[in-house]
Amino acid sequence: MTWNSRQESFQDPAIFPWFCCVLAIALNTAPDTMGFCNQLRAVDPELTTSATDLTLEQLLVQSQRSVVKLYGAGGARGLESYQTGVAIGDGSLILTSWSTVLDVDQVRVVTFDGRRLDAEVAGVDPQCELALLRVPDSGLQGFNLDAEVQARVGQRVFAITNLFGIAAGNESCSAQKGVVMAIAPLTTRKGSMKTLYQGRVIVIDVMTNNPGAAGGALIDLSGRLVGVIGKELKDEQSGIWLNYALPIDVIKASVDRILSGQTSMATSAAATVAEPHLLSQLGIALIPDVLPKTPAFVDWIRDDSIAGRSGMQANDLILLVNDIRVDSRKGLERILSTINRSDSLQLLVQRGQELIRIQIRP
Amino acid sequence: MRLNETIRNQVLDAMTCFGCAVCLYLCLADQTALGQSSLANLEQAAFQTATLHAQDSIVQVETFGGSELVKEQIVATGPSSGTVVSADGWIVTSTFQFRGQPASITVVLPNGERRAAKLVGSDYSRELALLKIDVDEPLRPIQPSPSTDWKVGQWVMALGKTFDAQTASCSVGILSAQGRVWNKAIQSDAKISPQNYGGPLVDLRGRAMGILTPINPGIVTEGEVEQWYDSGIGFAIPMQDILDRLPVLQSGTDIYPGKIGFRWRTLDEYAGPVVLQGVTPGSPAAKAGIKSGDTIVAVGRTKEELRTIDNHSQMKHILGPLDAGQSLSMRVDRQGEQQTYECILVKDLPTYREPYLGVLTDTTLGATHATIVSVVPESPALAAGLAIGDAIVAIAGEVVDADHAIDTRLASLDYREKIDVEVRGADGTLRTVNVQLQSHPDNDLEWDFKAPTHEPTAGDLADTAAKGTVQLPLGDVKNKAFAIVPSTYMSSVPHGLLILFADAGVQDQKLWSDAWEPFAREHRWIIAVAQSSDEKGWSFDEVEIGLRLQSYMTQTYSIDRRRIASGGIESGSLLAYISAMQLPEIYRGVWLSNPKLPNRFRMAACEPFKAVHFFVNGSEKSLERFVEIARAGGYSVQQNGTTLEPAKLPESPVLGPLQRWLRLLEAY
Repeated sequence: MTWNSRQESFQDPAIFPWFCCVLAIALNTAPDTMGFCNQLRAVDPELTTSATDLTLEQLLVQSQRSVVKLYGAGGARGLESYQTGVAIGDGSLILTSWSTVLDVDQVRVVTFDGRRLDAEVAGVDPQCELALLRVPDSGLQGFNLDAEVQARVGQRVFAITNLFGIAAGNESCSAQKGVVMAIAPLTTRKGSMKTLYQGRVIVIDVMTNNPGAAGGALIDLSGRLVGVIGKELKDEQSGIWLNYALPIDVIKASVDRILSGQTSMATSAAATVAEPHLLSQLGIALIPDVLPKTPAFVDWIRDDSIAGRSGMQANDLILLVNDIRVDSRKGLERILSTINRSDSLQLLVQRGQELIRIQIRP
Repeated sequence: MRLNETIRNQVLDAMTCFGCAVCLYLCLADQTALGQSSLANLEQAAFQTATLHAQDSIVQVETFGGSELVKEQIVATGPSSGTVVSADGWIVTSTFQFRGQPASITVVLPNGERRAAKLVGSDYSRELALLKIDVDEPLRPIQPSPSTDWKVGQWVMALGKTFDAQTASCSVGILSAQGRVWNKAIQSDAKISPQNYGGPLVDLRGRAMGILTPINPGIVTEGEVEQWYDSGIGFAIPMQDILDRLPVLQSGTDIYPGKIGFRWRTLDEYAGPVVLQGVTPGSPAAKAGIKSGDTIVAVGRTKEELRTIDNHSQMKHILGPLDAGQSLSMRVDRQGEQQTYECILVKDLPTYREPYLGVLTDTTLGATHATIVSVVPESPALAAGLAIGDAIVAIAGEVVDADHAIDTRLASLDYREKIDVEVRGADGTLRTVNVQLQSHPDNDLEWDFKAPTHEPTAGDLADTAAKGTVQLPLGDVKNKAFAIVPSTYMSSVPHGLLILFADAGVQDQKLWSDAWEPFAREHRWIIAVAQSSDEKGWSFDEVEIGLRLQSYMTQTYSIDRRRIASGGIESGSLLAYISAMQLPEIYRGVWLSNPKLPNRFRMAACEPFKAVHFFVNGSEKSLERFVEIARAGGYSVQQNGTTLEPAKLPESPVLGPLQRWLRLLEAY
């Protein structure tokens, strides 16, 4: 599809008058037309700004040349020994996912034109599970991390990865098309595939959740890098596999941290505290825990207790504690164990069909 | 090129309808500045605008408490989506996340406010649920997309609120097909999963074409829909079908698939005409007066909407979307005369139990009459005075002859009915007796029954079929099988066939022969024993061995179709059960010895010609549940508390009751 053919269709006498007519009606009758127009422009600035001269197909080929195939440790116990990497900046740095593949002295980099280079791990950022490899004189053109690119829901994207290790030698990594489904925090909480990164990710409707795809590039219609494909992961909340990429601002901050040597193992996971809130100490008795997921129903409240004074009543169902969802009695105990006894609690309880906010001050 | 133009027009059309013509104008005015990937950019803008347009009508739905495991499957516990259908707080969502019966359901509105929601009604035919919340300010109901505009191949978007209560998630695909799952759903290749169940499938103008749901396409069994995530196939229930049913759900009435209660048998769904093979007693079809043998000519919701049908598939497309409580009109051809019948569909058909007289008839090939050769003790036939030598001429006013077998006549009757049976006595006199039917007995019946003896015919003498302990060919599998064929076998006298999945490991053929040969000889049975390929146990795939044996044995020997049974011992019992339940029209009986049955299993309700009879022995507590479920489903089950020791097979106290039960299988 080229611009020329589209232009022709608008010069088509059958369509153009119709179009003008619609335009006139829209201008005359829709008072919020300008609003809509602005909304649309806000959605996609490219509609009104100049884009590159390359076709989409040319952009893809160009982008594929900045994506490399990586080979390292693994191959046993179901762990893959390959993944994908993205050349950034002047091409001497390769950004990829921090995984067991990198547990070797030298990571083998194979470029789009089949050159085999050895790379050293320049540094890792455990927080984002990203790693940076150094390949001097790679001859690769790197993606620009400084471009102000922000992903939006509904945006068309392409993933370029070496999924299933299908590309080898001078073969380019595979391109897949899709759209940005959502931009949301990675809320995986349990399971064997734990992730340290809990921040914002770009959820895509491209099936990138495949062996070898981690570390691949996510690009927009202009061939700009919008994200780096994350590790294979299952969303424990909904029970389905997640296809996602780390957004460019997260990547950029991570690269800066690695290059300045300021990475740390700091985990964001809430740790239990020494003196947490206890149900008994609050004066709350819940119904007995008999089911796999017994709801956090209040059985009775001790008079003159902290909970009693805050207005809690028997038969209240506790839904949220400090905006964290309470899915069961056990879940409530888990959440309370992370909150210091001296801190106040913000509860949302259901009483009949009513939702009531309750502040518990120790 | 033509396709591209179509897409472009679709996108431009969508955008002009949003009133953003000015924007397009700007694009055109600034032609030189535009890049060559403008179509892609326009599409992208259209996706985003449509999502923006619809997202305020989508809410986040969360559940609290309730079992996480439903039918041994983890049910999604994360938030899900719902679609607003009225300003005053009616929200349609998927039943998917309510399977665990949560203690509370809440809805988070696009402005972040959380409301307690009441589950008012569920549509179990479409896996949809209707929620109601109280609202202070009117909500923004989703705008429906008129189905007349839909074209397969057009862009569609699956929206949801799983990730964020404010911004909808969006997966883009095309409309893959309409009228799926027997006309109940539309299909798309957008990513449809728990991430957006309950959300809308919208067109490029952000209008809802349908609500996303994990409807069972019938290719997989219940609870396995999860395997369909992200496999390029997903479904939505058309908006109009939902809006039509809103008043019913709003009144607090659940909706179930409507059942009619007639059956047809066909190997080709696209072949016609639709001739009924049976009508379940007490069903809407039976009450309306529809009879087995009728040809369905036209079907419709009402007399006025009757549509002519030529094949089974066309009928299923009309019946598929119908709910219990809805009316159905049928034009039926009965021996050249056409008449229209009306009925109201029901949620559950009455449990069918096989009606039982308590007689055994002469099964010798060429026998022209259903002559009674034995009357079972404690049976309705005995109470009514039927005797050996009587030939059954008619049942409940319908003739029994070579073309109309007794079982066909009985299948259309209710097991609780009192009926007239006309018989011709041994002296040639006709008489009619009144019989109170009952269901096939569940207890061990001791009775003195000697199978009639036969002189071998010339054909029998020429027959070369192997007798004694015979090694059976199974083809390209590792399994071994042998059969115990009585030395008295004659092809003119059909024999019973028991196909056994022995416990894992190599079997002692002599032991089996010692245990079964006397019974096989006296009561004309053949016992085929299959051994597992792996000594440690049977694998699921080996269920196919039963098919191979059944096919080989029925081709090689003369087998009585009313006396084919499967049996399984310990690890083999599951295979015996599956074999029979897969082909209930072939297997009359299933013997399960010390069965290893899964904790949870499904059992289709008993149907005419598929009434399997069970004999279950063992002392495991889990058997009680099996017996209970099977009996509730309409099956007869004889239970025996003895555990079989395979090494002491010939002396086992189980053999006596088991062999009496086998004898009873052929009884009408």
